[in-house]
Amino acid sequence: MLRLIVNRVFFSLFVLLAATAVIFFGVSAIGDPLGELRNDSNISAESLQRLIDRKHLDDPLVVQYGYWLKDMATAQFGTDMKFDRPIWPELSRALLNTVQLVVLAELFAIAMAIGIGVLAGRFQYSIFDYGTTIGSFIGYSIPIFWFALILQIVAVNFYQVTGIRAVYISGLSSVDVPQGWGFYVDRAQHLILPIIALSVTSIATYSRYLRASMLEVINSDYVRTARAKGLSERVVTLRHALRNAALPLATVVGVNLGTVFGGTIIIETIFSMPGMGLYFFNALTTRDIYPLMAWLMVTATMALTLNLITDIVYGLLDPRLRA
Amino acid sequence: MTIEPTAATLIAEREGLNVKPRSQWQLFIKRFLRHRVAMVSLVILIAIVLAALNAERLTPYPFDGMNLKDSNLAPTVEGGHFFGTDKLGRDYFTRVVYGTRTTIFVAIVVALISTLFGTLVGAVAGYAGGWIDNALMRFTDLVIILPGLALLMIMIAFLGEGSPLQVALILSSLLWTLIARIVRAQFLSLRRREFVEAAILAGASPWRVIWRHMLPNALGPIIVNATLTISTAILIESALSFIGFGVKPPTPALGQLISAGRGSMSTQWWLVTFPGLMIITICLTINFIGDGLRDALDARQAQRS
Repeated sequence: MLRLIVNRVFFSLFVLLAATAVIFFGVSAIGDPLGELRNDSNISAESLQRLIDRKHLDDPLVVQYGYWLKDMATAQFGTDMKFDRPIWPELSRALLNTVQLVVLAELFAIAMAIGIGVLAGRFQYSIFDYGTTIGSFIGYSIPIFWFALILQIVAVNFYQVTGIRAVYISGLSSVDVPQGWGFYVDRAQHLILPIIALSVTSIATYSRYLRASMLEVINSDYVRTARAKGLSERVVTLRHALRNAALPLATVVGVNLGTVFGGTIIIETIFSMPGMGLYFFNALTTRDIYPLMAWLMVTATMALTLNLITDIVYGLLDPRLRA
Repeated sequence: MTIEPTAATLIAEREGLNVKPRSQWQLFIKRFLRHRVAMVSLVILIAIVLAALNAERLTPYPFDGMNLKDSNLAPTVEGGHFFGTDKLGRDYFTRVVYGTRTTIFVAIVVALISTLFGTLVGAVAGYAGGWIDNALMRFTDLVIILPGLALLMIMIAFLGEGSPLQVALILSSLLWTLIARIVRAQFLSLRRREFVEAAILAGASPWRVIWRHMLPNALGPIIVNATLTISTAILIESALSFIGFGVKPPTPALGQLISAGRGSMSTQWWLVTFPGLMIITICLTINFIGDGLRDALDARQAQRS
């Protein structure tokens, strides 16, 4: 087990190193760092030259890559192109907000999926089973940006009709944030629509997966034994069947997180939430490659770490892999 | 691809019955035709595709025909604007039909290119094994780890003039990974089968073994996946067009229509609703068809006939 972990960690570090090269040379190949600024009549030739000197743009690409790596390691990704602002403070704040959104959305999705998957697997071919099957097909087919907009329309109309402000449709907090418990209520009111919109696809994917693995497990020998021992149906389903059926879900969640993370670009843009997605959207709109590359590195690191954790957790949960 | 005579057909032949052995493909098609949900979906999808292809004949309005007199009309049947009009008085049904055409075109091109490329990578990796397999699969892993939607946005932002074909090419550059993995897994197991070993021992060239002996046996999962890729591509293209990094105006695409209608969505609800429903309908039918294909392929569920 230890050897497996060490192997995995080294492999991930190697991939990360490869990713720095892919990101730097890839982005440099398609985006001229000065592209937009060159055409900006407000920027004089001298300040343009200053930018070139600051980012060493006259050096060969490989040397620039070295400088970029050095900035990343020693200066937390350095500064952006146009205003020379440090990248990390804003990016790290955005990262925290997005982690909050993604974790809550995924927890919600997993909880929903366990409920749906267990019941649908337990009562195969019931109305509930058929209903949730169709529901999950719709979940696969719905564009989340459209679903988010529909949620906003419903929320706005609900407010106009009843006068009750149950949820907010933009931002992360109100301007006048209340203290104490009020803060959490306010935050929840802001987060609820983004969480629902972001978790639709996950709920569909996870519940289908859980249903299938529940069906597989329910017909296995140890479940039959448990039932033969006279254990209650509840204990058999939740203790014996669900535990084993839910195990492979760890991998599915791990693989799916990338997609969820991509979804935050759309959801945060729609709900104007200051997270990674909106950060990326803004960096791309201003065509500044330094925040962009920093964003890509943070994202790649997170993806790799998650991959690593899922592998290890899976190894720990499944004794067969531990040997 | 004919199947060998089974005991049942031998007995039948001896008794003078004329039994026509069915090939795997005939069985597959027969099973698919029996899948009711998939068949209904197929009919709906064909209707939508035909409507999109015949957009000029279907509606009397050009897709960019403005008529400021009739701006912001709610959907009516008698008025001739089934989906209403937008703020420039353009007939929204027409816009949606033309948008559907763009969206479907992009998705089909993506499915074709990514399936071809993914199959090639997977086939070579699965057939060759060893370091070639390792190198190709580590490359595939790398592409999977990279944040897909973000990369697509970057490529379109820096390269794109936003033409449908270019958007399709950019999408294909990332969507081939799943099919590559599937084909590789298929080829790895086929590689050890007797008929493949026999073909190799008989002196067939690698390309001939891949093309004539292995690929036909891996075709099922490839087709299922190509189908599902169409729906994935529609969702991704729509999302990209929605946030302004996809197909650009004046060419209408469904995601872009939703984006344009967003500003006034709480009063002119039809501007956001109809293109969205169109996306859902198309993706839903494709997913059901994919499901039907998968069931038809799964011989375990098939009745012996």
